[in-house]
Amino acid sequence: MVDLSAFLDLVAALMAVLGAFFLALAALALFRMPDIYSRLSATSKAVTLGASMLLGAAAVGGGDAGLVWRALAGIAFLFLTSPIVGHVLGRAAWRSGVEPVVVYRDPFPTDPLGDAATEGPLGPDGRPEGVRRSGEAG
Amino acid sequence: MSELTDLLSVTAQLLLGLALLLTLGHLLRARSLLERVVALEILSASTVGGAAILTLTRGESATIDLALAVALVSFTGAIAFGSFIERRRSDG
Repeated sequence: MVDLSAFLDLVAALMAVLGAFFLALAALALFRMPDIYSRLSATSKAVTLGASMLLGAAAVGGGDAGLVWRALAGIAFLFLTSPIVGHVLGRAAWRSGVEPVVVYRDPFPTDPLGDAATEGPLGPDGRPEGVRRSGEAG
Repeated sequence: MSELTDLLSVTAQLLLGLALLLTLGHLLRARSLLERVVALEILSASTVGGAAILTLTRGESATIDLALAVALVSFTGAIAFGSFIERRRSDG
């Protein structure tokens, strides 16, 4: 006979760890991403998943019917509003003139051991300014 | 709760604290207002998650209402900040 309550507690704790892990991942993306567009793109998804998993953990481990419904309402609210927030902030960044930063990695580097990644705003040819293909007149 | 469940919930709270610290660091070092708004979004989502963990570990069902309220306020604040930044640019 499996103790159902202990099993549900274990599932809820595992979900809580996963959700907190995704929230920590979103916070780490703030440091790893080069500009605000990629930060928004990385964090909006991870934050939605992390907070929803934590609310779901509360719903699974709580065992109260009202608690379950409120947690489900919170998850639905997060899934509805998080894309809207990402869209509004990205549009505000674009309209206030923030340039996207593109990390360009040369597929055929002339110096294979050097750091081939270049960051910078996009040039007219679709590659970042200051990046020239090898053999191309600078 | 068994020992394994206790250990897992302590791990979740530590990870959440790590997320809060990282976000606070980015909030302090960010240059523009939009970067700070993005950091505030993650901060409020971590608060929602912390309230959910409180509901889970202490068995109080009142804190999940706190999570819902924080989610609502952060959504409204983000929308207000976005339109404010847009309008400030087009006016000037």
